[in-house]
Amino acid sequence: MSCEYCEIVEKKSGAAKLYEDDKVIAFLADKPATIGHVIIAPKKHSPILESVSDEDLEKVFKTANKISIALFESIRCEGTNLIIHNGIEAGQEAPHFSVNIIARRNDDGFFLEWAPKQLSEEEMSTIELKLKEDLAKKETPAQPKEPEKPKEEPKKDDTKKEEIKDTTEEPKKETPKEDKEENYLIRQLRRMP
Amino acid sequence: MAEITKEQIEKMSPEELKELQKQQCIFCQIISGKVASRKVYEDETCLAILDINPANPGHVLLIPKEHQSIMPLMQEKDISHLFKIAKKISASQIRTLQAEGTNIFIANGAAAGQKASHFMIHLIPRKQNDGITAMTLPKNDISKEDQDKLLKTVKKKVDERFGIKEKQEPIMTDRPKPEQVKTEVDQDEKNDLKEETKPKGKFNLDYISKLFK
Repeated sequence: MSCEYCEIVEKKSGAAKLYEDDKVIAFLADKPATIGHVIIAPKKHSPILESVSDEDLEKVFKTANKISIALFESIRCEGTNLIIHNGIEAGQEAPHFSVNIIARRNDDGFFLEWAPKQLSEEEMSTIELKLKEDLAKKETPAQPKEPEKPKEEPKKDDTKKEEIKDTTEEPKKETPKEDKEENYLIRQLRRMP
Repeated sequence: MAEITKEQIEKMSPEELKELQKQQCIFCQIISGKVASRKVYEDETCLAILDINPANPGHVLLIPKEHQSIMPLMQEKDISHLFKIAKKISASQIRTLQAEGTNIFIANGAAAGQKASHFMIHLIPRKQNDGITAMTLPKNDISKEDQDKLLKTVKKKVDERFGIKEKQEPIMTDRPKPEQVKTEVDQDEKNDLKEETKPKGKFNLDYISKLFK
């Protein structure tokens, strides 16, 4: 199946192109949310955020920032939104990761407000713990060549100690985690339109 | 804290305004530990906490430790770092909270819906039929003519930002000649320009500070 953004990258279809380099392309949205809606995408086809390399991401966001500034400067907008729809359930339409930059004005009549959901203290604590533990664990795969390094880090508090213990004592647990992530990525790929 | 009058704010320099913002910033107080929060990630440059008014369970706010009001004022290296962490948090939300997708959302300026004056990245876990409609963008038609005009106007500044000089006319390092600007914007924007005479050409802190008045 063809990807509309890849077609723009390959110049098979036209777009109001604002910027292009070896990694990134930025163009005006065909159907803009407001006057001054720019789409920035990595040139390499990647369906979701998690499949974009850190190097490409860096370029994408640096470009996004420059374009946001350029919108302030050129059309004198009063604000900008940066919105990413990561996955179909998050509202993603094209099967190619992209960032929206949207120029805003006080009177543009466009609202991006959500109604806050009420969660109990217990629910919040559970979520806090789950995310905290997972985010602490993920440090390990980022430094696979230096397994000793975490030990050398200053141990600031008890929670940190625990996290480090987790990652060093249970290296086997990391492998199924990785598999899970793989599966998730593959699942996400299939979900793309 | 003593009430600060509008007049006093008007007289303040951008630096003073930033200092004032910092003093009154709830997120700076969260970072310093004066105000309690549910921290899910922290390093030298940033902090991720749970939003107390979540759009969905697991809504995370990722904030730089140094007070900056909006993204254009951030250093590029800090932006890169923040988004690297944002990618990790998004993956974590999907893995541990069974989210089926994530929205990453930033508001720069009150006109964009920004409430606190501390720059932040919202990370919202999403599930099918979760009832969130705010992230759905409207799709408006734009004429080819308007699109071309807009492209020309914006591209000039984008090129300037990237240091691209491809036009014969000298790309300005300071202010554009008013005539040049006027010929390239449509009638609506002309009106806007008249109202907003202060920021000319250069993007400055003073202008940004005004976005929060």
